[in-house]
Amino acid sequence: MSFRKRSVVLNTSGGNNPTSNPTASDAPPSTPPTPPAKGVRPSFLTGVPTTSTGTASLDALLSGHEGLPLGSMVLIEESSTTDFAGALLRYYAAEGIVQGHDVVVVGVGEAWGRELPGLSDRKEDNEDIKRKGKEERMKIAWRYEALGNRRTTDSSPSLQMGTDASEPISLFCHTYDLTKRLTIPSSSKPPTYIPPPSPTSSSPFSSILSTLYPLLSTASSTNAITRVIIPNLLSPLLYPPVSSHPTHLLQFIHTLRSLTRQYSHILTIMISFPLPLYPRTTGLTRHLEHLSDATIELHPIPTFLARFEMTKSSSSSTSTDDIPQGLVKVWKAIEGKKGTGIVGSSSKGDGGGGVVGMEGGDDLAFMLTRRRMRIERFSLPVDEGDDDGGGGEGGHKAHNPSSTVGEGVGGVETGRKMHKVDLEF
Amino acid sequence: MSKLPTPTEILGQSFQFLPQESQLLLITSVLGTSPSWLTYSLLHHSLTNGENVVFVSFINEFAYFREGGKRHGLDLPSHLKKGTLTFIDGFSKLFLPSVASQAQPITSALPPSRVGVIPSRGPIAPRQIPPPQSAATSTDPIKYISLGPSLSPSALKQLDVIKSTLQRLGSNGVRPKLVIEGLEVLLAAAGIDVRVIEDMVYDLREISSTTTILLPSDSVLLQTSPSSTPLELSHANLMISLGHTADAILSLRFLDTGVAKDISGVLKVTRGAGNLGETGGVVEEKEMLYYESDTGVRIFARGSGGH
Amino acid sequence: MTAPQANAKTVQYRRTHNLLLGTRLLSQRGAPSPFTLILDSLEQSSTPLVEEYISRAKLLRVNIIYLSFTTLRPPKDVTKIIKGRGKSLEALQREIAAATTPASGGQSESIKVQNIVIIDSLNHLVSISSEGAGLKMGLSSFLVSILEPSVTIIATYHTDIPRISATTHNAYNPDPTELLKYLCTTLITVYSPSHIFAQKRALDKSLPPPSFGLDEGIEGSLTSLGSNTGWCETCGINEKSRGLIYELEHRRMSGRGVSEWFFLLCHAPSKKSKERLILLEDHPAYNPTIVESPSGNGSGGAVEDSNLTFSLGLTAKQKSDREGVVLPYFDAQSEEGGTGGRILYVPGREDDWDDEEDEI
Repeated sequence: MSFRKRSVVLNTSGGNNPTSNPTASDAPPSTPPTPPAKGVRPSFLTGVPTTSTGTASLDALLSGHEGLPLGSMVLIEESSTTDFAGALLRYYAAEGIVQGHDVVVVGVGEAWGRELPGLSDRKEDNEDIKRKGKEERMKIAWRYEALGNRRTTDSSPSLQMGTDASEPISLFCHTYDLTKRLTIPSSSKPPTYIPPPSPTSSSPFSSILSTLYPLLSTASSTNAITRVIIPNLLSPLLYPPVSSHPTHLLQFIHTLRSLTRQYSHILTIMISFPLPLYPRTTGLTRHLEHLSDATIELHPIPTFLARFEMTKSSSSSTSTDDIPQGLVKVWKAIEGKKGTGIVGSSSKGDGGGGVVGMEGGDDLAFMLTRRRMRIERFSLPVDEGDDDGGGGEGGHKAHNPSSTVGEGVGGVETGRKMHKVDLEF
Repeated sequence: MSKLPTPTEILGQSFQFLPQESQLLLITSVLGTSPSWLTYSLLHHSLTNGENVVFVSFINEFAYFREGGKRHGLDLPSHLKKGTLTFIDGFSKLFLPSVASQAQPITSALPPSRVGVIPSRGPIAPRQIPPPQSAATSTDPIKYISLGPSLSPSALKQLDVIKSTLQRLGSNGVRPKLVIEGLEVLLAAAGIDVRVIEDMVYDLREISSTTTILLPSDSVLLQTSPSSTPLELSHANLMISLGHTADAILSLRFLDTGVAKDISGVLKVTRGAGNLGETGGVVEEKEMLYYESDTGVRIFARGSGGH
Repeated sequence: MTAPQANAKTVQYRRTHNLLLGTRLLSQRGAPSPFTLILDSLEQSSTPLVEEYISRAKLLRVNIIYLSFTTLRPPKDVTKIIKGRGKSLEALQREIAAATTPASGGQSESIKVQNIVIIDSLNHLVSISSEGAGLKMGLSSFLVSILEPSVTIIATYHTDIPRISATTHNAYNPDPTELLKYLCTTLITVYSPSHIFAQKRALDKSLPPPSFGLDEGIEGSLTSLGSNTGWCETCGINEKSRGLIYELEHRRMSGRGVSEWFFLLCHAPSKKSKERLILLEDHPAYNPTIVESPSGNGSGGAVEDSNLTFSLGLTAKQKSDREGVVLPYFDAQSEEGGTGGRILYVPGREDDWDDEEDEI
């Protein structure tokens, strides 16, 4: 486990913080609040402070904020017994630790925290994901000029800065490698674990909340950005049966919601929730969704991969990395502008956030590879017979590692991507 | 400042708000269609006409409406100061432990300043935390409802603050208007019996002029099959009971045919039994499309393109 | 559930007998039905029908007692309003008894005062009675106790409100809805005219009838357009429509049941008759054949009445002219083959005429 410590500097993409100091690596969380805390940047949309979910493509889904606004609660549902949502939660936790945020993990033991993904130290990995992200933006820009453009111009300096991996990169969202394990940097606090309620407890969530209150109030006094992670809420392995009663569960969620408002300057919450046990067709789950700020469902479809395995022999150039493992549905989007209830305009510019993702909207797919997870616009896997598309896909994949990201190559890539987009739609 | 459709545009030319009779508007929405703009439209109409409004929310804090109202040219804090608007916050402390034991940590939780976190170009001011310490004092225009973490019969008395506020405002003979959002929280999370809630709504309607109730109407919440859970049955019971007495039912939903770029959803206005009486004018039933954008909300007929 | 098809054979008989029964029941003349149960839903409220009962009772100087559980704005012509919320069945029974018996005791014995008790929501009565099962008065004994010879009950039950069964519920008791249906002497189910007509139009074309309200299956939609709107050509857009369709089932003392569909019109159909109640089949929107068969007093009444800005009818000359038109190929169908009726068409430039392939 070679953890190469990166000094983390704030992303200057906002343009209002020209004096980024490259030695902020061990800035204590108690610094005066004048500069934004580490890992916090203003939303591209409204300027509210946001923090990264640790998954760049998930950040891009958040209604054009390009980050998770502080003071919000995200519900990740998973409609199978797989644990893809767990990966998203681990990224979110790892990002918090790397950025020096307070991380609170509820319900699961320290073993969960030992499996946090380590920072990827592969240069091409970082570039790849950034370039990939850029392409995505280009693709979006091509379709819906509005937001993609702004984002592209905003972030291009940092992209260029990032081409040389020997320089410390200031990152809002890091890249992780699921094959590695995160070593907690000295500047960061280890996560706090709140144990699951005792099986006999009659009000299962009160113990969690009573542990959480003091944690939050101390974090608030020092302005420490806090992430609360609740993996597998209501999982029968962690929570007593009584906890699924609405008066327990919904009271808990309602309280969490009010906490996110009360501590809206520091707190974000991410919850994963097993849909097989509590399907979306039940009122309980719907109430849960109404009380959260964003609801994203991961819907694994194993046949995508199986189908790919079957046809793999001939088109060996395509890697499994590009095969979607399931669909992502955004049932409730973070509000585009706080307090207005608007999700529409911004989310559409974002191509996939917001209510897009409802039935009939643009489909989104997620891909979990050995190393990372990303969410992309969904297109059916290219058929074996369809050599044109398959070749293009594979070619550009093979092209990646050797390429240096520059304006010229970017242009070529864009052109190629455009071509692919044409095929897709 | 952006534009909002007026209640007249929504409910029809001949519909009148009767100042002295108990009318009921039921606003329903589904997951993802926020009904806030309808609330702002009604608030705007009432507050600019100088009427008293009592606004109760169990799912949002005042700051949420303050920011939202600001975008629509509605200065809620000034109305709060004037006393025409009374905000009853049933959200922030609903299930928090009682104020006495919790006051200390909450007070210390207040950050000294949040200005630095917000970039200067940010168009939106930071969401401020309502000062909790002054909650109990009478100077705070916002009233709080706290049922405490474990619901006791005596805690239900906390809800009487709505009634007493309405009575106080109505003591001059002019009934105030009432807006309630998030009753489903009392039903589902607090576990209050649906009949108690219906009785409460009835009592409140008796002493207010127009009551507006916002409830989610997702089909899964309205299941009435024998296998439905008590949660779903109670919600359906509350919803349909209110629908039977409502003057108008305003429902927001997504476009049935999928997502469209310049349409946020469908607004349907239907007549309730309450509108069949002799007074109040006719609610004009209609189904319109609406689009929420930065410049406001526009409602337009299907096929008219909305431009 | 679905309205019957028009039946020309029996309609004449039913027009005389059932319509008479319908108006008599509506006017409560001679107290033919002690307990009238009205089933309604979000699609069509019973309010217009109840108001019709009240206005007719008012003419007969009947004492009208309105037992209100949910209504905050009860109809104006009511003699006494009793608020039922939060009261026990015993207390309600006492209040009703006090209201139905004349206050000034002995002397009014000679004047037999008729009473109507109107209950706006039986659902609440049902939930009150199921709360303390066994200990208190049941729903049926409550209803029986207020039913005296001088009292008739008109009660509305909202069929779409789901009941939440109390924990003390006796699983072997009949369902309260069924109990009410069993107890009542007249069962009325109200429907929205626009919904009934939409279903009829679909059935006439052998299409599946549309569903409305919660059955419509639209996510997030509680009611359908056309709910509580009535159906009236003469009503202005700002006028409240008081029309509705209802299915009536009356049980006579003899045990024979009469079942009929009625349309309570918003306005009296013509200046001659003041009766707003007609058979559903006598409404032109439901039964299009009415337009064709002039029933005694002139032709095509419905078309002429429909307030169009142009005439749909034909004069005698127009009719004879229409019959004189020779249609293309009409002549060719005669045995000789004929010579007339050809279509003469000269292809233009835009037709891209090809001599070899195309022919007229």
